[in-house]
Amino acid sequence: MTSPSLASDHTGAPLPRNVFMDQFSLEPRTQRVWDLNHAVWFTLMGLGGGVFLVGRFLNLTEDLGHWIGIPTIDMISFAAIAVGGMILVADLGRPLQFWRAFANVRTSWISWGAWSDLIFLTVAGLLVLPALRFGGSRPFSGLGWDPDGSNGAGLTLEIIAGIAAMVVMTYAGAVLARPRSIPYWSSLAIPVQFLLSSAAMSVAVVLVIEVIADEPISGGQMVLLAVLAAGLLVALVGHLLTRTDTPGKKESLDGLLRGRYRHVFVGLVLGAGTALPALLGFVGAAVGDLRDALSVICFGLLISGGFLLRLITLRVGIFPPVYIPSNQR
Amino acid sequence: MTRWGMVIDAERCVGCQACTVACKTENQSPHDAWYAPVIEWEAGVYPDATLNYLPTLCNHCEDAPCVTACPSGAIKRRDDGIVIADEDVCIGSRACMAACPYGAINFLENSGTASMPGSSVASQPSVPERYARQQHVPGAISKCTYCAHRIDYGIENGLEVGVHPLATPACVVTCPAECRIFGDLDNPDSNVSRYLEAKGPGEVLRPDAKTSPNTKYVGLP
Amino acid sequence: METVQGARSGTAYGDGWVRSACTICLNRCGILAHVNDDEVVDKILGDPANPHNHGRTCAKGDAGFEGLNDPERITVPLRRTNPERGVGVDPRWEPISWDEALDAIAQKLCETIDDDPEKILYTSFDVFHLRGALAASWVTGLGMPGYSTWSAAIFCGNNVHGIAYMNQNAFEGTPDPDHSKYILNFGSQFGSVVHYDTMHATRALSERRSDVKMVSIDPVCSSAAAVADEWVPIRPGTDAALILGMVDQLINELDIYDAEFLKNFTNAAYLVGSDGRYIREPGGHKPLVWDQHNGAQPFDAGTADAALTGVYEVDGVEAKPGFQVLKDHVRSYSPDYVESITTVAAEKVRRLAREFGEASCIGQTIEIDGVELPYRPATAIWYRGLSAHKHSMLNGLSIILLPTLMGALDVPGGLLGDPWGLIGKVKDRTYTATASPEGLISQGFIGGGRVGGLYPPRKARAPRTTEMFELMPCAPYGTVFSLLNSEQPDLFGTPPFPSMMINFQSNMMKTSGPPEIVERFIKRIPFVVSISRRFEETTEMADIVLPDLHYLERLTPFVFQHLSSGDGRHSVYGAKPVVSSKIEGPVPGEPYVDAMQIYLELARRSGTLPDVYEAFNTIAKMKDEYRLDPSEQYSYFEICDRWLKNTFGSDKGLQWHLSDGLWTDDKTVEEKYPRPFFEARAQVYFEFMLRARDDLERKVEELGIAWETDDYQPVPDWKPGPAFERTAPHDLFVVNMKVPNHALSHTHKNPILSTLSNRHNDLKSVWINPQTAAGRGISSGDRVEIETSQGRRQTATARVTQLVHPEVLATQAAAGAGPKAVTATRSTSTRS
Repeated sequence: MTSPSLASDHTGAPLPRNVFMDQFSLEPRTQRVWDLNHAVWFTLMGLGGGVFLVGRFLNLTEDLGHWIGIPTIDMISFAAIAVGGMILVADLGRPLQFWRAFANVRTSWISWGAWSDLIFLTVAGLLVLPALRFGGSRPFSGLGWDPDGSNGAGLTLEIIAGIAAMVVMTYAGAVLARPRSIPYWSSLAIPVQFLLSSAAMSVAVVLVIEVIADEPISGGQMVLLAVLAAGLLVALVGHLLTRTDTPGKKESLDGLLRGRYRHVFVGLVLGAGTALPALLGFVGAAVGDLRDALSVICFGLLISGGFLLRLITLRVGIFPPVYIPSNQR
Repeated sequence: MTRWGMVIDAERCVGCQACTVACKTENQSPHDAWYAPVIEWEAGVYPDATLNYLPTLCNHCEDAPCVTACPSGAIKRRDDGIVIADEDVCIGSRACMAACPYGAINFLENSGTASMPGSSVASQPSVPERYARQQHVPGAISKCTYCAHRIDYGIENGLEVGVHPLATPACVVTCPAECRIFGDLDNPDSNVSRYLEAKGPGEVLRPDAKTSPNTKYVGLP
Repeated sequence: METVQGARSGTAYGDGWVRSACTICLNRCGILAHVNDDEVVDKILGDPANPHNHGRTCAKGDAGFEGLNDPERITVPLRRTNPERGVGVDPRWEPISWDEALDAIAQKLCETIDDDPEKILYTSFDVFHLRGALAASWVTGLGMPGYSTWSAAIFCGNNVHGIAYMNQNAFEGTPDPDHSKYILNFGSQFGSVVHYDTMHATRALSERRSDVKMVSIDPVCSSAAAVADEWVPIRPGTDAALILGMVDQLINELDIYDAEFLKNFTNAAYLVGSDGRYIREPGGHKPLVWDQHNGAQPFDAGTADAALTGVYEVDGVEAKPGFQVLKDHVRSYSPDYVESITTVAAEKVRRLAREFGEASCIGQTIEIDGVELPYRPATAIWYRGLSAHKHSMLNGLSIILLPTLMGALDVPGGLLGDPWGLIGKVKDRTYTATASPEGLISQGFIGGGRVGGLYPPRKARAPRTTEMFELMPCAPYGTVFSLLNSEQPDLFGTPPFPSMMINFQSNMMKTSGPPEIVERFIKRIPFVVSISRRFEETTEMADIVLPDLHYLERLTPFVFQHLSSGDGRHSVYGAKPVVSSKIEGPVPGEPYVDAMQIYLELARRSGTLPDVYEAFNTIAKMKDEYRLDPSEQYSYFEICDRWLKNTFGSDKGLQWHLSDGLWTDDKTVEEKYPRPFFEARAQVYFEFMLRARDDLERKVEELGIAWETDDYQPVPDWKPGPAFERTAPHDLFVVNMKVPNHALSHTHKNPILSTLSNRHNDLKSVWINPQTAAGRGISSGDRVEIETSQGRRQTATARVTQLVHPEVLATQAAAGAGPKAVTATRSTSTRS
């Protein structure tokens, strides 16, 4: 459960991550709360909610294979969210008390996330339950709704699951954006980036499943992928260009564009992970023969780029000094 | 209503760290955690350089981002304004740590030890046990309570809060330069209100975070 | 066994709170310590009833209870079984009974006393020795020359005490924090929480921050400099040049000095001949002054307007007032010359002098308690910064000129004496100073320790110990000469080397000089006893170790006698056992409450107890009804009881001490600001130095010892110390500094304070200026190796900072105390 220490004192010695006010100095301070584990579960939550929604949105859920009767797409979604949730729980200081995370729905986005995970898994699970094939029979086929949401009850469940999936995709970004403590995070741009990244990653996942299932990929699907990636690029660049002098955010931007993370961020997140798949998506839309290959390439680029986006966003979370002396303002 | 607050006159501070240590012996914070450190920073260029001091602690915000972020409801703002964490309820999400602009929240690792390595004496809160949380919970966060146990003890025993040493936060009591003042910000006649009136209006740290702290500063460099 | 403990009720805070005194540093605050139901001290507060620290504590005091239940405490007497002594060599301790230990030491004492009692070296200081008259009586009774403040020779204000006695009749001087407007702080920590009178000063100066300008002159921006309004970095060891430059500006350029004060309360008008000596009345002893109307007159003939300047002729001899000699002398300290020596810009020298002079408010008065007094709210303070190198005394004699020329001695706003000539007197206090026949404040020898005064100079004698104190007629200490004599035994004709050493609460290896030299010195001493609470380097060199107590377990009746001048109240109080020690003590059936019990028991076993009692009766000025009968034997408790009653009255004996023990009293205006109320004069022309030199030169010639006497001069100079001429590659000065959360070396083992220091990294780093660092390619965090011109090497972590002079490397004083090599020994031996 330890993540690499990102800060060091003025002598270069690493500091323990359990304390913030440990340097007793007035310097911008890199957050050491959240790191690798969080980047993984942020990614998995985004994918989990996204794959479910993209499958339904593109009407591909029923066409891309099943496992024990349940659509493969939904299974991937459930697995991602379940694994992400387990990582989240394991990362808690007191995992056995995880149930308390549901307590503060009034203000805490983590509580919203916990509820949305639970609701999504429950409702989407119920939704697909009639389709469950168990040793040749469908024990729950008698339930009164249609798993693909074509009747009233099914549609209701599908809408509830869809809303929950939306929240699942969004809340990680909202957790970061809500407090004003870390200026780089404290912006609508972060949840928007995470949402767009999740959606683009999810489309890529669905396209790859299409490739595996040998389904033809439409030009529209490639356009969707390209547009989402391009939107992410806009959200990223826009955030990089605004409030650049804000204490704390300035240091974050330095880290992203000039400092320690410039190669990974500019090269792998902005370039290979966002701009390139956008470009390839448009190429794929135009050139039908390349779609399968481009889908697989975009999948690799978007997933790795999305994960690195989250990890680096966490790592450049910098608290500005608690006080800025009057002559430095 | 009572709204406990602290006024810190940074101009008076001599950087002796008495508050830092008095807090530790009073609250027995986990060994590497310091709830009330004095921050130092260099200013200027030789030969016109100096070292500045800033006493800090939890700001006990009116709009406390830690309370907002906490999923378990372990951190609460009391009616008297004190923001307090129940370590038994805390699940260790650390959302509060990321949300607090002041770095005022400390996390005790599961593998961590609550006591000072090498310490031979378990220091105790100076008022009876029932007023105070003494054992820190591994995997939970801990933070400054404005010495709420002393305040509660003082009120129950008719001691003047902010004046009587056992009814005043430990960092305030010890300060040789008397740069910390504790009292009721809602009472216009209180020591804190009068000090702010004389030297005010009082600044807050990280005003951009819009947290409305009840810890106010005057005489900031 | 009965227990003797401080009362746990009676303060305003309910049960469990014991009033006592903190003895971690010399400020000695009054404290309330809380004992819980498990007999554990779990909290320390400042005692709000105590006017000395008004309910406040510092970081050290807050964490003071650490160490009480230290698993590494020494709990029984131990004897070395490994004859090989050295740092890192396992002594192979063997537990022995108190009886065996005390007999072995007493036997050695008897042998040494028969040979030469001055060969007993008794060292203390790190944990301050606060047993006053009783400890002094013990060393006197045994025939020792006094106890040796070993560490003090290195870290204390060596020149401070003698000079304070000379011009203020006090142990030291501190600025008046209640009235001063301008304070020049030369390398001391005044204003931070490290100094005498620190809590009062910190509070008063914080309260008056905008009314007081504090200027800190220091190679390092110390915590005191950080609090000051201005930090003036200075090249180490050059302060005297800046001070004399300021004196030149004040008396030659700005014409600012308190002429009335100089005429009436100093020797400034005393006429001096061309040989530098006073011109005295014919056939008599009294120095003469020049009366504008009646010519030369004895200084005390009632001359209203004695000349301070000019050249006169007395009986055909050219005569100048001492002040005129000083005026002429300091002309060579021009601002440009000062800049070349100190690196302080000439313009800044002029400005500091002007600010200081203007802030002195010459001629102004202030009403205190209905009495009009001179108001001189500008002063200067110094301590170790001006002391810890060669020519220390000239530095001190330079700086005392600043407040003396401004008339700022013991008046509102000026330099206040602390304690003011009153050691040992509480009830029957009198505020006057003894005047010598020359009319000057006369205080030759101070206290029970071996702390010498300056004036009148002592007669030079053949050295009786390796400290050679007998050849230092004006010095407070001579301890470093023991090291020199140990290293080069033939250098000074081989003065008697100690036969035994009793080391009490002192880690000389860390605080008294280069560790390897101190180690060699201790190794040469045939028999070493250490009284210590835990093992450190020095104790591990001992032959016999006796367990010491934690300060919260001790009964020490007079920890503090705050009988200083200045506003506020007098207070006198002591320490008492907050909890009872679980350690068995030297006297069967008697609770162990203080190492003094060991000393008394050693005196009894060595047959010197009657002498100790007699000495005590004299030194403590015991009244008839409380005198100790040399034919009787008294327990430590009975002695404390008599001593307390003798001081405070028959109703305030040991029981009062245990249940309350805080004596406070109002001050009269004469006590607050005594200078205008007594006649004995301060000095600005140090004629006695010439007499001391003559006597000394005669003596060393007779003894055939090569001895430097150049510094015995009547007007001070700046002189370069050996480190001043830096030669490549050793081109930097190393200085050490102090943080407010540590005192000496003994707090470094406090887990709270050491963890705090790790956070600051204050004890491990060496400070270096960016200019200097850049030239050497050093960045913050780099490990650097430092080599001194003596070839000593040390590695440290660099902190590149604007807060240090470019020619300086700054490190922490006494950092890292505690044995490193013999941990294994430590953990096995103390469990036995």
